[in-house]
Amino acid sequence: MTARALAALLVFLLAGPALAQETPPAKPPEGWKVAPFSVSNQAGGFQVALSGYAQADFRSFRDWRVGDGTDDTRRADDFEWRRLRIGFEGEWRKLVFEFDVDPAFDEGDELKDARLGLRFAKQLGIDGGHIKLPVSPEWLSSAAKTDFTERAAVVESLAPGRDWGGLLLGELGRALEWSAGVFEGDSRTSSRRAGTTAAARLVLKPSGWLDFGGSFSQGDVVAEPASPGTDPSPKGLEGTSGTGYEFFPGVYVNGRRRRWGVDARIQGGPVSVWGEFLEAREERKGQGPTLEDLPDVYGRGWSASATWLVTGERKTRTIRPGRGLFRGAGAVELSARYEELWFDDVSNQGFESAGSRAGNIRPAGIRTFTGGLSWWPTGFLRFMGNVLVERYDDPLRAPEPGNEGDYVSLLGRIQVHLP
Amino acid sequence: MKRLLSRFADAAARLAGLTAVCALAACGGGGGSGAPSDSSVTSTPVPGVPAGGAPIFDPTLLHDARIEIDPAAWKALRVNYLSNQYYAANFSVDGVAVAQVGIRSRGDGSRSEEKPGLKIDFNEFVPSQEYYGYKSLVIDNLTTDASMLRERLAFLVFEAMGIASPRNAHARLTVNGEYWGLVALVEPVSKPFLKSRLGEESGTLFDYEWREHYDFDWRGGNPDAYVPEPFQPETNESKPDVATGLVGFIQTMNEAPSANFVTTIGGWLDVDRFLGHVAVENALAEGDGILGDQGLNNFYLYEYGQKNRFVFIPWDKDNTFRSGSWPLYRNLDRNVLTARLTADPAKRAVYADAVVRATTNFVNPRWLTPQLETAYQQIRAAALADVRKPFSNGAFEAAVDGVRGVIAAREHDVNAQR
Repeated sequence: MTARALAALLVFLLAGPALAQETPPAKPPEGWKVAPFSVSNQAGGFQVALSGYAQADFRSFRDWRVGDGTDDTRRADDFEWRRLRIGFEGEWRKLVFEFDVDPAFDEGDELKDARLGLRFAKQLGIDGGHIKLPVSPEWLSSAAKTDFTERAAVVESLAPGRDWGGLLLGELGRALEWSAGVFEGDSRTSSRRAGTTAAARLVLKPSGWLDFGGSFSQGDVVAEPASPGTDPSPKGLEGTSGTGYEFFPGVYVNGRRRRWGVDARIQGGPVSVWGEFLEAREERKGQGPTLEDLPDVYGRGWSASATWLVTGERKTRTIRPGRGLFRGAGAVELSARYEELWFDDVSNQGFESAGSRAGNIRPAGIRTFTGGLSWWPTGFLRFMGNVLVERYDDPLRAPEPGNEGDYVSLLGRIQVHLP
Repeated sequence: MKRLLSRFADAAARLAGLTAVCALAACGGGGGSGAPSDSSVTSTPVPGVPAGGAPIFDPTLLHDARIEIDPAAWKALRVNYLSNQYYAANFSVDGVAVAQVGIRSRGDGSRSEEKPGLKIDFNEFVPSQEYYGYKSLVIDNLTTDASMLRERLAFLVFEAMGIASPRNAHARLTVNGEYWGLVALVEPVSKPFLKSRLGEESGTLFDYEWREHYDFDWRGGNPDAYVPEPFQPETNESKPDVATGLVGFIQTMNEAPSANFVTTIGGWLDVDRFLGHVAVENALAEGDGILGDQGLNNFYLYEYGQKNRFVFIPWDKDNTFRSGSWPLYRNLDRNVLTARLTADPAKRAVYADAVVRATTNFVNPRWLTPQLETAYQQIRAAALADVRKPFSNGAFEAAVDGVRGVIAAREHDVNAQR
């Protein structure tokens, strides 16, 4: 970590709480409202707020290692300054804007969201900039507001990232939300990025406590040319576990990359239940050992989770600690998730191979159970603890070859965020 | 029931001992099973062969090596034989299998589409996978030696002279059930080799990669002039000062004063042992080693950990036994190190004595010819059945005869030059 990053984090950690307690020194001009992290003018339709959070992650890998232990770079570090997001968001009449960066810990990927939008009506708006492709609901949730320290492996492995593009969006009544757009790629900083990608998402809300969603994206991946003396990188999607272990290195792909997913959420009072299915399928035109076309490769998975705010707060996107069960102790949430993710190709002919140009891909998958505890002692602090139990379908490509699992890991997080 | 329980217990014990190695049947190849976790399995002693070692290098056996691979991948490996692209395969020797290894074409002049030389990396697709403790294995296609046994015999002599050399054994190679020819399984010079033969593995191993004529001449103090070409670090690759000792060694070779050169360079290597190494090269009438006609070639250089001390390890000895008549001091003046060492009369005598010792004790019909005949009988049928070798059966027989002749002549030839 750079000195600049350390300084930025220090300022963030120290200034945030202090600012929250300060009283504005002077009364703002009439019509304006100044809160610790926001300024607004209701009559002018103007509002801007600082946003940001910092996360430090701790991991303990119980009784397992990768290979003979010399290859532990293949899983996440025991300690990691995970994120430092700083930005602002706001609106002015029909204009909405959002900008945030991670200046410290995501080298080469500092830019996160840079969004500018117009809201013509509730039914129609337009966004443009560097934004998330609207595919997976968990991916669309801020990393500060996910129920677990890690998003589901299926989401991390298969969902698209952020890219430059434009998005039309709106709501039809109270029962339907939609968004559809075109992007320059499907993850700007990824070496496996597809070309121009179209993405769309539809959410049905038959009642206030129930959502059904569906997502789709499509783009074309262009493989680097292969020839003697060159060593192109595979551009296929990789399978990575919640502990950072890559159990399925991407294979060579060329052609269409399609994703589709469905999801459902039940949310009432302090409880939520969430399920998501996602599949990504990629063509492998001319990617065989002798440049022949290969059967499509796919990654497919699902996750189901449940959360319960035992202190009684209402489950919303942003948890606001109340007094709840433990008076004054903040909000406490218990959570559990089960998920499966696997990769294979659509045929099953011939030698099953782990190679990156395999005609018949040796399937690889993972099943993970995650138990979680979150505690918000105040509006700007969150502690998380997760236990992950991972089991790999292919024992040969498990972290310890020959041992499919269970691999037990403890993940902890300290998060400071603007309330 | 008791038998069933016993079988279950055996299976459980085997499973517990398995790390990354599976029974052949489980890997889809059909056949026997075994767990090669013990790298100290002993073999029948053979003169010149170090005791112990993985059984796949046991030279008393003609081994059975099998590869199971996607036919398209095998075709691609052959068509693109100049490429180092890895393909996944299942591999076994004598029924002991390992799954999803990476195989690729290898070699310099020996690269072949018809009969590829192969490098097998056990951990290319499976993290940390090993086979008898090795992360890789070389399958020598024997296409540059019509006798197909020169390297095996040469390494016997190096070993007999006290120069640690890779183990080497012949095998019949079968690919997807089709006989692909006679090959040699060559022990990789890597950490297991260093540990078992040199006693430690913490130092830096350099693979000398011939790129152009080089004779240990001084290219200045910039490590980039030496690393990674022609000296490719095989261990400690990521250490920023990996070349410091090597640069110092080469600088000493070039700049140490002549008056005390032997003493000074003796701080960097065992001089007599090194002279023994090059003496064996000339005893074997080799033209492509440290004393090579085209400059240095075919060796590894190991720098012991924390010691600034080096040892040479021979590699690729298929260009030996070239002639029964071979100058005793051939090419000693070609590279800086041997030229300056043998400029010292005492060390020149040490060198000459080593050549005489090699030929008197080993490179002669009494010691080496029986080894040749044993190896010949072992490989002959497999060699004759090898339709992918780039020479005829007649050429094979003639080449073996030629080696016989060289062995018969070397002792007399050397003695005549003293």
